[in-house]
Formats: sequence, structure tokens, C-alpha cells
Amino acid sequence: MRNGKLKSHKIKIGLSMEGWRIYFLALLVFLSAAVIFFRLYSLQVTAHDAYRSIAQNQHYIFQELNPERGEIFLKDGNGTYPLAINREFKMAYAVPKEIKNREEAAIRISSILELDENLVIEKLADSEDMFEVLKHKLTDEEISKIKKLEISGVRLMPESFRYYPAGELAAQTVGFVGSDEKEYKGRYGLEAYWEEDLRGTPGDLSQERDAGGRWISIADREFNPAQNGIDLVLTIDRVVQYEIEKILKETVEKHGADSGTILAMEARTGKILAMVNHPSFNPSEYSKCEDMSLFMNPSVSEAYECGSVFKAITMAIGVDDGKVEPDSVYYDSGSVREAGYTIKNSDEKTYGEQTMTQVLEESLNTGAIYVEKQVGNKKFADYTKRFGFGEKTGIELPGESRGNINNLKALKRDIQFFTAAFGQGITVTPLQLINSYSVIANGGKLMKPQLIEKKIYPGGKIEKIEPQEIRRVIKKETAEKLSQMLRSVVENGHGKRAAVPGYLVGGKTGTAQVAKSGEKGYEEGIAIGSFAGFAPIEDAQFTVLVKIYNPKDVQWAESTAAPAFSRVMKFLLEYYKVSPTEEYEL
Amino acid sequence: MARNKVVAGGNYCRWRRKKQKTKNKTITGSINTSFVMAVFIFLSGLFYLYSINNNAIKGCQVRRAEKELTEQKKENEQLRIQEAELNSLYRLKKESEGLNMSELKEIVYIKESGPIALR
Repeated sequence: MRNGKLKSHKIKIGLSMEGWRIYFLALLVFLSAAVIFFRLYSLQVTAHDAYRSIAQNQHYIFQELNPERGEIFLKDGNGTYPLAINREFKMAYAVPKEIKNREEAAIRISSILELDENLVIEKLADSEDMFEVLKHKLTDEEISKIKKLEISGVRLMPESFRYYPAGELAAQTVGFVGSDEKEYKGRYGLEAYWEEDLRGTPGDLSQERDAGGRWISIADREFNPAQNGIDLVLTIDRVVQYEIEKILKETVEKHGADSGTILAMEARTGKILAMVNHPSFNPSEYSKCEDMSLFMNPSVSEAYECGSVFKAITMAIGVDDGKVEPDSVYYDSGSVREAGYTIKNSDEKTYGEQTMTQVLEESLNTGAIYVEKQVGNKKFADYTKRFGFGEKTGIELPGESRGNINNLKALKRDIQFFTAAFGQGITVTPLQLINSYSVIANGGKLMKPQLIEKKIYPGGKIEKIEPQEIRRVIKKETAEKLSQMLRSVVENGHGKRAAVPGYLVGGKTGTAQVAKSGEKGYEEGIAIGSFAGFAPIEDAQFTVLVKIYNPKDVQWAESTAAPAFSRVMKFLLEYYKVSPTEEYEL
Repeated sequence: MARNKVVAGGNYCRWRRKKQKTKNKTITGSINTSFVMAVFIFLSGLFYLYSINNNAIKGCQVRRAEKELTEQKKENEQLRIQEAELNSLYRLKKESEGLNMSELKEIVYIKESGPIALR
């Protein structure tokens, strides 16, 4: 019994020792399996996307295909001239990892590329860095020097930028493409307004590749081609634009003015032939321009109190409403008193009995007030709106201002209507003003100002843009009467210096005060001279507006804007071969 | 060469051409399939090599032509830009000043009232 007990005890001990080892082994296997399972889980599930991406990168080529940005053209006779195009430049970049003596390389690179030495040293400092941009838009000289440099790890790469080969020409109209810290896109002008159409749609390519990185031509391929942007052909003629830019620059410099704007429009269609502002900038080097306000287009964004040039609109309203005729007579007492204010003629003279034509010839404030009174406030406000004031013209440019005719909302405040009758107290943009003169020139229709002549789609399809009539504003007879009255202004009135020998020209001067910003009243000694008109009277082809801001040597528009108008109109009539209708002596 | 034999008669003998035994032999048996397959594979191989080589040459030519086309397009684009720059009216104005050319101040139209002689 005792031996038997001892034996069974031994066996028990033996079994428990053996079981421990098995359990240990099982635990080891289990732990190993758990570790492998965990590792597999982390590789296949947690890091699935990362490894999938690595694998795909090894086996596939993915490439985003960038569309080519559409180009912008000016009219050039019967052809076109590129105003905004895409140009390939070279960029210098470094792979610091591949550069052996980084400090020496930095010194040499900075001297060639005219970069700050410390900046380049800093860029090349990281020995694991694979890519550092050194400089964009390299010159030919820089390219050749970099090629001769022969430093491994310094390379050139092509990159496309927007380029404006005509320099400053039509700069504020075309705008430019620039970076807003996220992407390159149209920032101002047509480049911004037409961004979506010009940019196009990116495409992509996905293709399997072999171990050597070569495309496997028989393998599956996903290819979505990029859709290039559309090209725009403008209604602006490059020679007209250039000549008018020249005239405006000379005028501004001659009179020591701060700035100026000239617009030329085809009277019947509303097509813009030139949109000129001075001073301007070179859109290819916009970053060098210190005054960012120059990027704006004052022709459409800068509303101003235009002054007496508005009297033609007041008179058109009076005639169209049947309240006055060109030879209707009123008595000018030299001033009008209203609501405690005394409104005088600009020359502070009294003219006595005057016809409506003489009101325009002598630019009488009292005469404009007389017409407004005859028409009545409500009708005057309605007509003003119908002429397009207080609303956007719809031109294809960003930042267009509506102007401000809010003073015409309070129908009981006569004083505001009286001042509006001669162009004070309401603001208009140069584009609105020239468009309203085109109404008189073309027989009474308000046209939508047109800047785009045609769109050319990537496939070659051409979409021609037709002129668009917004509404009829005045009767044809009214327009004809007004044309003759405005002709008389140029022949007998303040607009004599706007005349063009051999042609009948109609137009009106306006010398406006400049409202103080943020407070009531007008700036002392600052004026804006304007002249708006058209020619030839019997079959008006062109409407032109000249606006000169703050000329220093002369006060009145007849000495600043009117002569510039004459030069512009003369050029237009000759350039477009409009035959003279009148005899004239040289 | 056909052999002759001597034919002896009663009092003569002559040579007579030995009659040739003609046998109509027909070749029978089966064509070795493996051999045919080998020939076929060999020819196919040759054709394949030729095609591959030909394709490779064509591919190379196409690539070269495409490269040339791209370069031509680039050059064309550069020339277009250069033309636009040279045609820039601001540039022309600057160049003309350098050449001491004077600007046209006035265009005079003459009225034709009879025969005009020009020289």
C-alpha cells in the first residue's frame, strides 16, 4: 500500500511537470500567433490605405493632367493679337540630398540667381531633403549659367506662367493671373471674371507599369483627358487701344492730372473699342506694382459725380417726355433758390431768355433745373433708371459698380433732383455714362456694353456673341433732336475744342466737383473734367468718353477733356475710314 | 544505264535491249506531327520575332516623330510669343525713337477734282 501510494504520487508529479511544459509551449505559440495576427491586422487593416497607396504607386502611374489655360486676344484689323498667353519658363530647384558640398553650392547658386545667400544655405541645409525651389521664371542668362554650373542636385524644370506680350496694353481690362497662397488663378479683370471658362477642366491618367517603371501598354488604362480652357477674342482693337492710351497719357501728363479714363464704343452695338485708364501697370510684372489700387478698372468700378455732362440726359428726358423742345425758351435769372440753398450757373452769370439748345451750349445749371421741374421728380427718376444709371451694365468684368442714384428715391426732396439734373448728388460710372450717350447716338436704344466678340472652344467651335439690346429708352425723334442740340454745343458752345474738321460731332462737357469722402461738401480745388460725345452726327459710329481727374493747370473740361476727345474721335474716324461729310480747310 | 542482252536465233544473233521492269511505287506511312509542329512553331517564332522587331522599330519611329512634333510645337509657340513681343506697339514706338523716326502728325486727304499725276 505504501509503495503503491508513493508510485501514484510520483506519477502525479511527473504529469504536472509535463503539463506545465505543454501549457508553456501552447502559450508561446498562442503569443506568437497573437503577435503575428496583431502585426497582420496593423499592416492589412490599420495601415491598409498607406500600403495600398505604396503598392499602387509601384505598379501604377497616376498623373493629373493639367488643362491649358485659354488665351485672350485683341482684335487686330481682320486678325487677332495675343493679349494673354501661356509661356513656358524654367524653374531652378535643388535636391539637397544629392549635393555634396552644400555651402559652396549655395554661395555659387545665390550669386548666379541673385538670391540671398543665407536663404539658399537654409534651403540646402537638410541633407535628407529631396526638393527645394530656388527660383521661378529664370532668364536665358541664368539658365545657361545654371547649366554650366554642373553641381549634381541642381536642376531645371519647365513651368507654365501667364504672359502678357503687349506689356501695359489694356492691363486693367485683362487683369492678371496670380497666386492667392492656395492656387494660381485669375485675380483681376477678364482673367478673374472668366476664370472658370479660361481655366478648363483637369484630367487624369492611371496606367499599370512594370518593374522598370515603364508603361505596360496592354494593361488596363484609365484616361480622362484634360479639357482646355476657351479662348476669348475681345471687341477691343489693339491699335485703337494703343493710340488712345497714348493720347490719355499725354493729356494726363500735359495737365498734371492725377489720372484719366477714356472709353470708346461702337454706338449702334455697344461694343467696346477701347477701355483705357492711366496710370496703369504691366500685368506680367504685377508683383512689382506698389499701388494695388491700379489693379482695379476705374472705367467700371469708380463711380463719380459727372457734372454737366449729365445735362444731355436731363434734356433728353425733357424732350422725350414732350415737356420741352430744342427751341423752347425759359428765363435764366442766374440762380435758383431751393430749401435754403442757392444754385447758380457755373460761371455765375445771368443769361436771361435762353432756348434749350442754349442751355446745353452754355451749360446752364438753371436750365437743367427748369427741365427737371417740367418733367417732375418721379418721371425724372424713372427715366434716369431707364438710361441704365443705378444698375450694373452687365459687362463681363469684375467689380462693376452700380453707381448711386439713391438721392432720387426721396421724391419730395426737390433739391436732390435739381442737383441731379446737372450731374451732382448722383454718381455714375464712366461705362454707364458712355452707354447713356450711345442711347442718344444710336436712336434711343440702350445696348449692353460688349467686350467679348467671340469665344473659341477647344474643339474649334466658335461662338460669336451678338450685340444685345436692353431696352428702348427714348424715341428716335428725341435722339435726333438731342444729336443736333449736342452738335450745336460743339459748334457754338463750350465743346468747340472737341470738334473734328470734316465731321459733324456732338457732345457735352462736364466739370464736376469731387465729393469729400465721409463728410458733406466738396473738395476744394479738385475737379473732374469730362467730355462725352459721338460722331458723325447723321450716322453715329463711335461714342467716346474722356474723364480727366484733377488737372492742375486748367479748371474746365473744355480745356482738358474736349481736346483729348477731338484727338480720339479724329483717330477713330480715320482708322475706320469713315468719309468726311463736311468741307474743311487745312 | 539500261543493260542489253544478246539474243541468239537459228543463224543469227542480235542485241536486244533488256526490258526494263517498271514498278509503280506508292509511298505510304504517316507524317510526323511533332516535326510539323516544330516547323510551325519555328516559322511562327520567326514571324513573331519579325513582328516584334517591326513593331519596336515603328514604335521607336513614332516616339521620335512625337518628340519632334512636341519640340516643333514648343518652337512654334516660342516664335509666336516672340512675334507678339516684336509686334507690341509700345516696343515699336521705343524702337522707332531709337531710329530717330518722326511721328506722323496729320493725315491730309486730297479731293480728287480731275486727273492727278503722281510721282
